[in-house]
Amino acid sequence: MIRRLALAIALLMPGAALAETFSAAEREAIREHGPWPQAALSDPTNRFSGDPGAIAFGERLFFERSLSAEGDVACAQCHRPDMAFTDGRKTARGTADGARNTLSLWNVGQMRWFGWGGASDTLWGASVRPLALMAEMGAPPEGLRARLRQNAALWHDYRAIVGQAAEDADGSAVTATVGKLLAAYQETLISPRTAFDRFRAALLGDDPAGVAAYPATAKRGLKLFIGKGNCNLCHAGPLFATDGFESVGMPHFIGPGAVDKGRYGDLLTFRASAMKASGPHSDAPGPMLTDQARLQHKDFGAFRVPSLRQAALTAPYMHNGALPTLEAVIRHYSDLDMERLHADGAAILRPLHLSKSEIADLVAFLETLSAAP
Amino acid sequence: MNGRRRIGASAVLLACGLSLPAAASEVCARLPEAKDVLSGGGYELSYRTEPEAIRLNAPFALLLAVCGPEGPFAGRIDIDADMPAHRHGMNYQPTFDQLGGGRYRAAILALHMRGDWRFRFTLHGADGPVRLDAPFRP
Ligand code: HEC
Ligand code: HEC
Ligand SMILES: [Cu+2]
Repeated sequence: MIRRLALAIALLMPGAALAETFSAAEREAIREHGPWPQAALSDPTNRFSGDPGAIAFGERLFFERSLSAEGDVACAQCHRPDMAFTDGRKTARGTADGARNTLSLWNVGQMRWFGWGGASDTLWGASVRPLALMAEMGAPPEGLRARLRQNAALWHDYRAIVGQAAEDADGSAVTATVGKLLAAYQETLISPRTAFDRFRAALLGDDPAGVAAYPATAKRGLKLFIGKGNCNLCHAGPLFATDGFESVGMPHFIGPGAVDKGRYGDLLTFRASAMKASGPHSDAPGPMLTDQARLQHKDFGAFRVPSLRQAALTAPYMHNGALPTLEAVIRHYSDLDMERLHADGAAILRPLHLSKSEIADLVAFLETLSAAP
Repeated sequence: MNGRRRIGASAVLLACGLSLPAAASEVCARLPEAKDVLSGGGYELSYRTEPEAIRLNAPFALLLAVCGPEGPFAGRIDIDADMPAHRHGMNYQPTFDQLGGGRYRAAILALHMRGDWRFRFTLHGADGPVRLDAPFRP
């Protein structure tokens, strides 16, 4: 009834009616952002992927402080389930201060590269990285096995899932296994359908009432997103992300004389890592696409294109948390400082010079990509 | 977008693809169901993708058949892809197998952006390199 009323109003208001129509090209661009949710993926490099016992135990580990060196930090402290698996801070603080913004874990099972610079190509590898980093949990990998054993209840249940291998494994194998159990849990974090998904289904299914139910301001924002904004070149597909690393003109200084090298540094870290899909701890070792990643000059100061699903819930924004709101992000793109962009970077971005109402429309659209679970 | 995928048996293919230089008398055939046929510098290059429809960010392969004036081409080929309007290339280095009889297979290319791409093939023949470009839209 309310929907019908909305449709009637939309038809009466010429400005709004214009926003109701989408060209064939626009429909095609919108189609590419779904369906949602995507079919669940299982990770062949993780033998615990999809295993209900491992998922439940991994969730327990996620809240477990005894994984950290000082027994004081748990994953859930930075990846807070009540805050879309982030911490609301500019940059993370664990055992020490970090330089990067905490990434949300929504839909993390669908990524190819993990972290802002893609230092890992497996979710389990990304899940044990924080254990060793001082800025996160400060625990050298050798200590993890000893700390697990000290906790009798935890070790008992760990053994029940991992089996005899738990006893035989050395420190780094235990670390990999802990990562895999944590990963099994995180793979289940799939974000809910949102107002955008319902609109997309209505548009493609010729359901005028469903189309009308989507706010006119979000429709205008969507048209900017797939039109003059060029946003969907990078924020593409059902995740509104792409398998690439770009520089969008964010500064990457992290202190006097220090820079975050972004993709450049993290690809080198990845190559040296043992916790990768083609590495010794993988359950499906073999040549991988990720091993073919090119180290490029433009990777210096480039960061992963983040997914925009649930982004309305994960302020502040960007790899360094420098932008406090979605509006600030849009303003950043609107007033883009071309001097800051790599000369050899992608020639896609240019200042958009958006009006106040266009900025509000884009924000309204981005908000429809998020929903409370 | 899941990348924990094996890149397949390319090493094996490479091992059996170490063919002898093609004899001049060999007939050189265009690839059946080629997506495009390019020619230049006395060469004809036909190619198709595997699978035929390519998804963004998903690995795929390029199958090539290259014929020179003397029959099947047997030299080195460099392959790359870029988006000229955006001034960027691919994020992954393709692997390359020579299958013999003028046939080549480039594996695990993945294109990360919608829009206009261009495949660039450089044939290293006896008379120096020849470049053939093919516009391509995934
Ligand atoms: C001190 C805060 C902190 C703690 C504790 C922490 N993380 Fe993180 N997490 C971060 C930050 C910051 C990043 C981004 C790191 C980067 O880009 O290098 C991140 C990234 C990740 C990612 C990659 C997400 C993506 O989308 O690529 C995963 C997975 C992850 N963390 C899992 C965990 C797990 C599992 C634990 C516990 C073992 C944990 N984190 C503990 C702050 C933290
Ligand atoms: C050239 C690729 C590219 C284009 C085009 C692009 N983005 Fe981004 N976007 C990125 C990258 C890379 C980041 C992270 C940058 C960083 O942290 O330094 C980002 C970050 C963001 C964020 C912050 C997300 C978070 O969780 O921190 C939002 C929101 C966003 N972009 C929206 C947009 C909108 C809206 C447009 C169009 C006006 C757009 N983007 C165009 C690549 C792009
Ligand atoms: Cu491009």
